[in-house]
Parts: sequence; C-alpha cells; structure tokens
Amino acid sequence: MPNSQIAAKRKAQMRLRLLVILLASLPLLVAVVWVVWMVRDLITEMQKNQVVAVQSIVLQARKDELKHFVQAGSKVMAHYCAPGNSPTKLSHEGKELLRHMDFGDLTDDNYFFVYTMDGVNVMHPRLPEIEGKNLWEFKDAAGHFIIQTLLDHARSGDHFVDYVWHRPSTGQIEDKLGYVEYVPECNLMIGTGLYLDYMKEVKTFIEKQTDQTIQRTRDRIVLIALASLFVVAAGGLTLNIHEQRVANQKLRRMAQQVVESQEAERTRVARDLHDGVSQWLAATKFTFETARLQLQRGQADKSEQTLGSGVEKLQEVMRYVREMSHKLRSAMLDDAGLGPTVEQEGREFGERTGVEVSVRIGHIPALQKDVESDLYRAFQEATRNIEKHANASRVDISIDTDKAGLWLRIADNGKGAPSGAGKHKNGIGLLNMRERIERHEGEFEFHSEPGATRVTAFIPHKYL
Amino acid sequence: MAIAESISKPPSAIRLLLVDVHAISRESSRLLLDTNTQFEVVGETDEHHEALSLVATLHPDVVIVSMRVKGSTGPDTARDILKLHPTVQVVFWTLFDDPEYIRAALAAGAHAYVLKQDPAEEIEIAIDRVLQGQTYLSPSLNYMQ
Repeated sequence: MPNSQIAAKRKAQMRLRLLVILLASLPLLVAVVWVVWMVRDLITEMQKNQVVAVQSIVLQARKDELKHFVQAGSKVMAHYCAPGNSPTKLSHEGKELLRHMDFGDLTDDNYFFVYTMDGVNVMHPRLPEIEGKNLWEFKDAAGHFIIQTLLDHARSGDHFVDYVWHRPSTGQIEDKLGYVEYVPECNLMIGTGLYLDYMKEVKTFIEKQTDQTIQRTRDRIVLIALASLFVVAAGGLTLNIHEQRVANQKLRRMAQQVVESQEAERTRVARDLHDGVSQWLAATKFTFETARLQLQRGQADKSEQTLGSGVEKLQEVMRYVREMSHKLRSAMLDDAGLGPTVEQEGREFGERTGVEVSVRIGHIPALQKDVESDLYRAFQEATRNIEKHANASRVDISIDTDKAGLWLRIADNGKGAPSGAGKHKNGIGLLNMRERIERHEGEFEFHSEPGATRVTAFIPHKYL
Repeated sequence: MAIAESISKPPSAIRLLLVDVHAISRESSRLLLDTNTQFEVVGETDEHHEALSLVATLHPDVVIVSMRVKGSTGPDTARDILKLHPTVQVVFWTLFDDPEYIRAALAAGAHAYVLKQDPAEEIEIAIDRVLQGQTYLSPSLNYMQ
C-alpha cells in the first residue's frame, strides 16, 4: 500500500539524516578533543619552561641575597675578631650579635652559623646544644660529610653548597642551599642556608596557575564545541522538520488524491446506477405496467409479448447489476488489496447467509496484480460453492504468509462435495481455481468429506 | 380503468412528443402510452435542437420531457420550447424526485411533473389535466405544494 511505503521511505530518510548529522558532529568532536589535548600539552610544556625560568631567577635572587647577608655577617664577625683577640676566638658580644641576626621572610630558618676550620661549631642559634661540639665527622641523610664539605667550599672560595639539612622549624630533612665564607680575621667559617622549599612553592604556584589556564581554555573550547554541535544539530533538525513538512504535504496531497479518486469513483457508480440500473428498472416497470394496461384495455393479444420483453429487461438489469458489483469489487481489490476485500466479503457472506464466518488475515506482502486477482477469484469460487452447496454452519477463512509463501485457506463444516466433484459441473469451478493457482507455480488442494471441506491455495514467495 | 373511461373520446388522438436521452426509456414509454388509444406518439428524440424542430414540424399537443436531454437539460429544453410554442403543454416524466429539479422544471414553465416511480396511470392523468389547462404534480410529490 502506498501510504505505508511512503512512511517507510520517510523513516529511512530520517535515519539517513541522523547519520549525516552524526557524521558531521563526529569530526567536530574529534577535532575538539585533539585541540584540547594539544593545548594542554602546549601549556604544560610552557609551564615547565616557566618553572625553570622563574626558579632560576628566584634562585639567582636568593643567591644574591644569601651572598649579601653572609658578606654583611662576615664583616660584622671580622669586626668582633679584632687584633688582640685570639684569632680563632670570636668575642662573646660578636657571637651573640650574630645569633640574633635573623633575616629574610622566613625568619625562623634564616640564620648564621659559625664553625672553626676544623669542624667545631661555634654558634648555632637554633641548635645551641651543638655549640662547642666537633661535627667534622657529621654526615647528612645522604651520607655526606657536610661540615667538611662546607669548610672545603669556604676555604676554596666556591661559596655555594647544595646539601640536605634537618630543618629546625619543620623537623624534616630538606634540601638546602648554603653560602659559606672563610673569615681570615677570625679563622672561622660563617655561613647560612636557604631551604629550597619555596622553589617547590614557585613550581606549585605556577602549576596551579597553568592548571587553571588549561581548565579555563578547555572549558571555553568545550563551550565553543557544544555551541557548534548545537548549531549543527539545529541545522539538521530544521532540515529534518522542513523535509518532514514537505513529506507530510506530499502525503496529504496523496491522501487528497485518493479521496478525490474515490469520490470520482462513487460519482461514477451513482451515475451508472441512475443511468443504467434505474433507467432499466423503470423501463421494466413500464413494460409490466404496459402488460397490465393491455390486459385491462382489451389488448390481451399483445400482453404475452410485452411480458416476455419485461422478463428480458429484468434479465438485462440482473446482468448489469452483476457487472457493476464485479466492477466495484475489482475497484475495492485495487484500492484496498486482498486482505480488506476478503475480510469485507467474508463478513458480508456471514451476514447474507447467517453462517458463522471467521476471517483471519495475517501479514500480506504487496502482491502482483494477477496473483492478487487469482487468489481473490479462488476465494470467491470457494465461498460461492459453500453458499450454493455446502449447507455449512461455520466457515473459517485465513490468509497467512510464511517463509515459503502465501497460504489462503477456506474451511467449512458443510455436507462436503459429492465424490468425483472434479468431474461434473460443480467441478468446473474447482478446475478453474486450480488453474488460477498453478499458473503461479502454486499448489491447490481440495479436500472434502462430510463435515469438513478444505480448500488450500498456496503461492510461492517468488510470485508475491 | 376509471381514468381511461373518464377521458372522452376526442375527434383525433392527442399528439405526444417524447424527449428523453435514454433509448430504453423512450421505447418503454412509447409502449406504455400506446396502450391508450387516445394517444398518438408522433415522435421522439434525445436531443435539444431536434426537440425544438420536431415541435415545430409535428405540432404535438403535449411534449413529455425527461430531466436529461442531450445538448441541454430538461428544464432548458422545456423553456425554449415554450418560448417558441407557448400553446404546447410540457409534462416532465422522470425518475428524479429531488426538489431542486422539480423547482427548476416548474420555473421553466412545465405544466406537470410526474415521477416514473408512480403508477403508469399518473402520466395519463397529467396529460388529461394539462390539456384542461391545469397544472399537475404526482400525488407522491404533494409535499412540494
């Protein structure tokens, strides 16, 4: 049927359109993911460089700071190792002054320490308990003799030293950058250290900043992508709606055409009824009335002929009605197809004859015109036989389709056909049915016994 | 038959002309009218112009018109006939009982309107009445009046 075909076609078109939208969106999604990934990579790379750059600048600044502080400290210390004092002995006053010279932001951990050149701690503001102790053999967590290393650096004038130290404020072993200077006036080494944790802070800070940048950038890209997707989808949807509207219009037009053609058909049938049947019936009526008037008016000699003509006219009317009904049936078969026609006629058959009729119509594929009409004729012949001869009280009609093909079955509980039904006059109909079915390489089976007559017509799939 | 007897024997037969598009209708109508010896069907046609010329040449007393006429309609044919031959009587004899058609026929100047569905004697009554100068509608159309 055309309507369902159109619906199916439309469905397929919509699926295709969805696919197109998907295909349009997919590259966009891939591109977005790729861009996000690339941007992140780029920013991460930049971040690393930035960390290195900033750290080196900060380190340089700190180094300068350390240097200046230690230089200041050494000047102060030299002052308190004035000639007269023992060269290795820093005055108590000088020692206490240095002890209190905290500097920098992290006051807690920025302090001077003083050692003799053979490793005895002279002053340590945070660890006064080690003062006076020889730490020559002292090893750091990594197993290095740090005091020896510090003294080596002080002696050689290579002031900066990387080492690890037990940080007083946190109690943790931490990386430390030391600056040491040998003060010849006192024959002592003065130094200070800088915990490198804030280098980590710099890194953390930059990383945090870049992470935020990455996140913001990603969010923006995703937002733009979503907006693009939305535009694509909206475009697709608009297209879809438009197409659907066009399809709907087409469908409406077709429905309109169907209605109009049905209307035209009905008008034609009405005209046929009036011009054909009514005129003929009126003429027939006139003819019989003529016969009556002839009998009444002493023209009886003509009445026999008139009556004969009336009967002929009635036969003509009957022929005409049959022909029209046949035309209407064909029209219905053309318009509605086999299923609805068989259903309708089965129902009418039941109403006309009082026989209990059950019609079961399964799925019927689109049929070739001649197959459809032959199946219909077989159905007509079978029901006509039942009506004329079977005296049945129940008729079961069914049409089913399976993998092999289409099955039309008509069963009744009538008295059954006389044996050898195929040979005499009733059999012509059967022969006819068989021929119609076998024309399409189908199979026709007629089985009859009292109480159970079955007509089965089968059309293989390739003829559907 | 009361009607047939009531019609007094005229010196000459009443001349009738049949105008109907359907041959079968004309044939059966003629057969029916022939049973009445006072009637003489002088001609028949299915077409408008031929109807006008037949009225002019055959001088019918009554023209019996159906609703369908080739080349025109029953009412238009009736109107044209009456325009040219005002003394002719026009009787509609048709299957159409639609009030629209009846009104159209009467508006065209028809003197009678008889349904073919009614008993055959109705056409005889109608012819009789119109020749007496009356108008006539089949009793089954009384609701129209």
